Amino acid sequence: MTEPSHQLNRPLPPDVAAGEAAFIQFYQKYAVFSWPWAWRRTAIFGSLCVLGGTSFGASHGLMVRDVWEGIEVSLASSLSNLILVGAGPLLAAFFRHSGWPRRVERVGVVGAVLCGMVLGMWADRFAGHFHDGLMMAHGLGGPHEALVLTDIHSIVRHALDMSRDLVVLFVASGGLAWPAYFSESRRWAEHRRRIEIEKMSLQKSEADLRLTVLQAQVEPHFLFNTLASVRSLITSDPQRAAQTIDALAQHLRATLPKMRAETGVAQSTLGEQFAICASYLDLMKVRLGERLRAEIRLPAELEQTPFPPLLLISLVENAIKHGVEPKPGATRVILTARVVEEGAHERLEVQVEDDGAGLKLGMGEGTGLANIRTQLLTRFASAASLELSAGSTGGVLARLVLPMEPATA
Amino acid sequence: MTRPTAIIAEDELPQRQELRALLAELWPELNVVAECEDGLTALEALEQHRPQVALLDIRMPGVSGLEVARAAGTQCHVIFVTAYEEYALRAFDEGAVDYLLKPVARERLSLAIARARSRLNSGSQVDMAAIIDMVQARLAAGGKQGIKWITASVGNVVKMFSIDEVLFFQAQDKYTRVVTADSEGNIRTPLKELTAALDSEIFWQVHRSVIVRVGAIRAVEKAEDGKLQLTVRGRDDILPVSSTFQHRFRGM
Repeated sequence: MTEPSHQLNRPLPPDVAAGEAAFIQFYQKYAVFSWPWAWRRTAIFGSLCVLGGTSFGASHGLMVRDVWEGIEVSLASSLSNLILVGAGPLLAAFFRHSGWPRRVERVGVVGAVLCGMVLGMWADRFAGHFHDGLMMAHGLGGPHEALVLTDIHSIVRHALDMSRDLVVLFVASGGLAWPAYFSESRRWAEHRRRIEIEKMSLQKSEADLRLTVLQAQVEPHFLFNTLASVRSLITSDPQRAAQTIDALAQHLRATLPKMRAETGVAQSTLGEQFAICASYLDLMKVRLGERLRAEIRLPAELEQTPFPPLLLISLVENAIKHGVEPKPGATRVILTARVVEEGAHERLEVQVEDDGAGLKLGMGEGTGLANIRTQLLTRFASAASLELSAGSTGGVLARLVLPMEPATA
Repeated sequence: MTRPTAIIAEDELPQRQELRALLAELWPELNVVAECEDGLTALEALEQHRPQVALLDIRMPGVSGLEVARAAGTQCHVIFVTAYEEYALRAFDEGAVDYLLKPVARERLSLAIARARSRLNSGSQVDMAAIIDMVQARLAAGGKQGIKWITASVGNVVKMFSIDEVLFFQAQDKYTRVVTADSEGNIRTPLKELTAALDSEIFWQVHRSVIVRVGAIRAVEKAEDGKLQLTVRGRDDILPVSSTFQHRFRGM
């Protein structure tokens, strides 16, 4: 019934809780027939009952002009009302917390509500008799007519009265909570499934992104051109050749998927992600020489800021592939990160700007950007955005805005 | 006998230098008259020097090596240098289109030089145009992935819209409107081209001038003149539905 790991005394996740209205939330946010649920429900409806009982007693007191008697009637009436609304749920809570097997627990909970109905009926009867006795003493009212089932009309009337009473008793004792109680395990199952789906979609989009980055890395053009460059440097500039191989190794290490299974959702820091981009840009500078200039501006205080992996390198690769490589002559790629104020919130803004070939009007097929959008959506819902527009100096400006998370130690 | 002339077009400096060094070693009498770092410079060098041999990288900034070869026509013997496009070149007669894979291996370059020499001596000429057409068709077929983005001009700026955001396309004069819930832009791509590229399950052409996202349609109704028209969620635009496309809404 309950999630094994979930304490009955703690509020349920919103999609598992039974009630939605704000005041009902006060107790419906807890598992049905748990102690907090039962106490809170009793407190809400109990206070209404006490209010009703007190005003009944007060009107009695006024009528017979006797304060003490008014108090007596108030107490009796309030107490019987309290038993009516409290007994069933509290008894049921006792069974729910007993830790007995589910089947026994269910029987107990159903029995507790029925038991609460009987108790409530007795209490009501007692309070009624007490009040009738007082009225008779004042010569007011008379004994109830004896139950005479002589004709069909009185039989129907009594049947209607009784069923009305039963409905009131059933509702007051918590019978309406039965469906929510019995469907709780189904709601838990749905909740689990939803969480599972969310987790899987995040993992999937991350895997997709990793695949795109991977494809860009082992993209034959990237790999063979880099190898060709290294090969030519071996004779002309051995030291630079060694540096290039180091940069390639570092870059592959950062972007190739780890062979061991990764659990959960990978997290990284802005500093790490900037370093990965820097090694990639170094590599490209070896190949393109004077044609590529790169600027990296990361304030030291942002280095430890949490930042999802692979997003930034995808954007930088795009800038190289679609901006720098197709454009004759010198181009520049600028990476910046800064904190921007957006209303009362601090947001992290990361930009990749190039002055390369620029956006071409029409249709585009790149899956990299689509994957980044999916990543952002699954990680941050609508709190993050990616915008691409024409850069101030031609080229493309990719602007990524994320919620600012506190730096990890 | 005059020395044969050649141009090298390769955008990456270290590779260009190495190619030149290898050529100097393996074909010492070859006179490299120009080294070009992009396609445009290669075209100019071709015009200016009229070389007998051209070593062309396929992927270059500006103008691709294939385009340069097309411009060369029968004028010179072309050797493509490529990191990857061999899958598009492999099927062709090696005598007609010679290609080197990066990193360029010395033995392979020797072979290419031997072939080029014999071709220059025999004076036979090949028209590359037909071959280049086929190579380009193969390259284009290899890269098909389906539309993900629409890059459109919004006022003075250019913005990218995810195809998932687009509600409808509408042809207007020489532009095509690209409309999302909170923005819109213009592209020059004609509707006909879009229809061919878009997923026909998701986008329906409902009029000669309108392609609409099916999932975004709010209502289809009859206008006063009896013609169908539709509205989409999140926009006030009223879009025409032509009679030829009305069958798509039967039973909706």
